[in-house]
Amino acid sequence: MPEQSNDYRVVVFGAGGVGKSSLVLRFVKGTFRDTYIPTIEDTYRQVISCDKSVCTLQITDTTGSHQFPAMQRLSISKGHAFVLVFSVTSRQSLEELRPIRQQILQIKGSVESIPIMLVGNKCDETQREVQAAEGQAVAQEWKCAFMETSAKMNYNVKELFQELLSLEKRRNMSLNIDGKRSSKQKRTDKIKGKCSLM
Amino acid sequence: MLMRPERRWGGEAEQELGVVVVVGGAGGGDHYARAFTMSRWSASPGVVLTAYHPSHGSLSSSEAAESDAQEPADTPASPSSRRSGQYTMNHDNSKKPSGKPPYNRSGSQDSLDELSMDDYWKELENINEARDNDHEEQQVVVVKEPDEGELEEEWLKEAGLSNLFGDASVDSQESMVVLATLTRTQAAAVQKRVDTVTQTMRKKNKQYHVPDVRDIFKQQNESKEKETGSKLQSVRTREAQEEAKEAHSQYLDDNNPRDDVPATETDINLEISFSEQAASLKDNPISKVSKDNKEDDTLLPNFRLPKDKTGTTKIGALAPQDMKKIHALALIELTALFDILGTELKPQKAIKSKVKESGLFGVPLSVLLEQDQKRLPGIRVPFIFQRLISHIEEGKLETEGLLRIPGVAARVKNLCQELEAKFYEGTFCWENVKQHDAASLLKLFIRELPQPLLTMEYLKAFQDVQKLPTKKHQLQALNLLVLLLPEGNRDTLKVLLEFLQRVIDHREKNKMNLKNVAVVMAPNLFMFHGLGSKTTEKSEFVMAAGTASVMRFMIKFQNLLWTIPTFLVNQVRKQNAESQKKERKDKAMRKLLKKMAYDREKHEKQDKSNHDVKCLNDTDVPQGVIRVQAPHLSKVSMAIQLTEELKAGDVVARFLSQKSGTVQALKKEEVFLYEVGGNIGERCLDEDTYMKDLYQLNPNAEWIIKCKNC
Repeated sequence: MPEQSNDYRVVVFGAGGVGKSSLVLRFVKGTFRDTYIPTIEDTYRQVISCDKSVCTLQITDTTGSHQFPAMQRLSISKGHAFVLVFSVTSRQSLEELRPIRQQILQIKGSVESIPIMLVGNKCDETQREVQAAEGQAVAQEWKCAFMETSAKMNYNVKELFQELLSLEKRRNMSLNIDGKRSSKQKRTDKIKGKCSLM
Repeated sequence: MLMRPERRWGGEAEQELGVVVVVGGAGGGDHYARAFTMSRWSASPGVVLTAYHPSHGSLSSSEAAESDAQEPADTPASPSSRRSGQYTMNHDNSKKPSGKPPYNRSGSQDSLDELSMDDYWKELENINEARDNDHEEQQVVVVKEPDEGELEEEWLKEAGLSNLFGDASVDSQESMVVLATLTRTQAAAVQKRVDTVTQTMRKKNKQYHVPDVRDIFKQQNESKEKETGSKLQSVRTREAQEEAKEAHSQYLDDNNPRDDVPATETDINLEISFSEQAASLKDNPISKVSKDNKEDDTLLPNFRLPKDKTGTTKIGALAPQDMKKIHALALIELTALFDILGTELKPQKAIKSKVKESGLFGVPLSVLLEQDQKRLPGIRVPFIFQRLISHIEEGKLETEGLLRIPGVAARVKNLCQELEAKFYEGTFCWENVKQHDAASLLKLFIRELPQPLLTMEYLKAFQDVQKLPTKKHQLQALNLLVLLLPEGNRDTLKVLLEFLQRVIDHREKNKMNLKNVAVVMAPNLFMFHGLGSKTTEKSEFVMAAGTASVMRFMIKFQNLLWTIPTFLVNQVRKQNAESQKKERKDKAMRKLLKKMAYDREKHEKQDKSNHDVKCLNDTDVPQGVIRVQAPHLSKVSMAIQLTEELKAGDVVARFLSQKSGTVQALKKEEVFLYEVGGNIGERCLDEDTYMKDLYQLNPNAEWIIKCKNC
C-alpha cells in the first residue's frame, strides 16, 4: 500500500459505544445518527492546509472491542496524533483508555511530542458519571489535552480536531485551506456557517 | 419448420434432392408444419434436422399440407409472386400493396407465423435489390483455403500456445502454465491440433523440434481426470434427468408451441467446462435416446443461470490481461466442444483487401471506432450505429412491421450519401428521416461492413452452431463465440441485440415478436456479400432456417451469452496462481542469492529491523476481516467482518450510506466493488457476490470500490 508521505494520520480510540464513529462522522460528513453500528476500522480523508500547502488528513475510526489487537498496534504505529474518547456517562469507559494510552507510550517510545487529546463525549447527557474536572485531572496526569464534546449537538467537534492539529509542533496545520478549496472543504465551511463565495 | 415447395419445381434432380428443412421457430399454429411432423414420424422416425429426405411419401404429404395452408385466398399478395421473388428482381415490389404489410389481413398469431419464413426470403430480396442498385462493384473478399496444418498453427497461436510448434517468441513457461490448467477435453483438443501440426511438419521435413504431445499431457491427464471425475459424475446424472425432463415437456408442449412462452427451465452449469459436460453426456446412453427426437425447434427452453456464490462475471468485468486469457481459453474450449460433438470448427481467414479508410458505410468497425474515439474518447460502439438506433426509437417502437418493412430504396440511397457527407459535420437533418428508412439504413450499415459483424473468422462457426445436437450445446457454443469476438464487434452486437429486444417488447403493437425479428435480421448478420454467391440451394435452405434460429438465441439469451462462464474465470485464476508461484520461486531464489552476498558484508542488525516492519504488515488485517478501499470517496477504507450473508452490494452500501448531500455524490449504479490482484487481474463484482465465498477463492485480493468509468 503506497502511503502518501504528507498524509497526516489521526487515530481515534476508545471503548465500545462511547461515540468514536459519531464524532468522526459529525466532523467528516456533518451528520449524526442514533443507531449503533460497531466499527472494525474505518478511515476517512479530508484535505487540510499544512505548512502553507495542502495535505490529507486521515482519520481512522477504530473498534471499541478488543477483538483485533494486531490492528490496534498497527494503527498506533502508523498514527501521528491520537484522540482518546470516553463517555461522560461511563467511568468504566475512561478507565478502559488507560491500557490504550500505555500501548501508545510503549510503541511510540515517548508521548512528549505526540498530540493526544482526551475527549469526554456525550456531554449533552444528564446522567454523568465523570465530571469535567475529573477528565481534566486525568489529562494532566497523562500530559495531554482535554475537551468535552457532543457529537449529537455538534458541540466542540470541529474545535477538537483543530486543537489537535495545533498541538502538532512539527507541522503547521489548519482545517481551513487558504486559496484552493476542494468541494469537500466548502461543505465543511457550510456546516461551520462560514461559507464564503468563491 | 418450413417447406419451400416453390424451389422444388419438379425437375428430376429436384425430386432427388427433396430438401426438407426443419426450421427454428415455426411457432403458433403452424399447421402444415405439424402435419409434416406427423408424417415424419410415421414414415421415418429417424430423420435428423436438415437432412436430405429421400422419402417421397412424406414429401407429398407435406406438400399437400403446405398448399392447404398457403392457397386459400386470404393472402393479398399472390403467393406465387412472393415465392418467386428472389429469382425475378423488382417483380415483387411492384405488386406489394404500398406500405401495408401483407399480414395485416388477419390479426391472429397463426397467420403471422405462416409468413414468418417468407419474411426471410423477402428480406434477402430487399438486400439483393439494394445491392443491385448500388453501381459500385462489391468487393468480394477472397477466402483463402489454408494449407493443411496452417489452420492448426494459427489456432495454436491464437490459443497462446504457439511455442508448441517451435515458435520461440512465446514464453514457453507461460504456455506450460496454460497447459497445466486445461481440462481433459480441452487438453484433447490442443493435442489434436499439435498432432496435425507435427505431422505436416514432418511431411514438410522441417527441422523444428516439436515436443511430443505425449510428454506434454502425460501426467496431467491422469490428475485432471481424477479431479473432474467426481464432479462429472454428479453432472452426468443431473444432465440425464434434465434431458429426460426436457424431452418430456417437449411432447407436452407440442400442442401449444409458442416461442414466447418458455417451454422448459434448463439450468446452465457454468462451473464445469462445457466440453466436459458434453463429453460426459455423450458417454451416457440414456440421454442419447431422448436427444434424437426431441429437437423440435419450435421451442426455446428457458435457460437459467443458477446463482453463483462467487458472483457472475459479465463481459467487461475483467481486466484486459485476464480477458486475453479468457479469449484463448474460449477458443480451446469451443474447439473441444465442437470436437466432442462431431462438428467441424474451421476458422475462416480473409485475405486483407483494400477497404475504405474513412466514412460511415462500408468502413471497417475498427476504423469507425478509431474515428469516433477521436471525437469522444471511450466510445465503444460507432456513433452512426447508435444514432440510427436512437432515431428509430424516437419514432416509437410501436410501428407495425418495424424492421420488416423496408424503406424506399431510392430514399435510402440518398440518405446514405447525405449521411456520408454531413453526419460528422453535424449538419445532417434527422428530422425528415422516416423510421423505416432508418431501419433500412441500420441493416445496410451492418451488411456493408467490409468484414461481417460476427467476423470473417467466426461467421461460419456462428452459422454452424445450429448443427450442434441440443439447444443447450448451441447456447454454450454461442456463449464461447461471443467471447471470441473482438471488443468492438461484441459491443456493437450487444447494442443491436438490446435494441432488437426493445422492439420485441412492443410486439403487441408492432407485431414483431422474437421470431419475426430474428427472421428479418438473420440475413443481415449471416449473409456476407464478400463470400460471393457460391452457396448452393441446399445450403441456402439450411442457412435460412438455422441462422434465424441462432438469431433468436442471441436476442433472447443475450444476458446469458454476455456472461463469462465461471469455469473459464476459475481457469484464469489457476493460471495466474501458477505463474505467480513460479515467479515467487524465481524471486526467492534471486533474493536468497542476493542475501547471501549481502550478509557477508553487513551485520544482522539492519536485517532485523526490516523483519519487524514486515511482521506488522503481515498482520494488517486479521482472519475473516477484509479491508475495503475507496480511494475516490471521502471514506477511504473500511475493515469489514466477513459473514456468510455479506454480499458485494452490502459492502458498497456501507460506503455510500453515510454520504450526505455532497457534490460528488455517487449513485449506487455507478459504483462497484472490485476484486483486485491475488489470482485475478481485476474483476468487477456483481452485487450478489458472497464476499466470504469469494474471499476463500481469492484470499490475497485487495478490495476496492470505484466507479465503472474511473
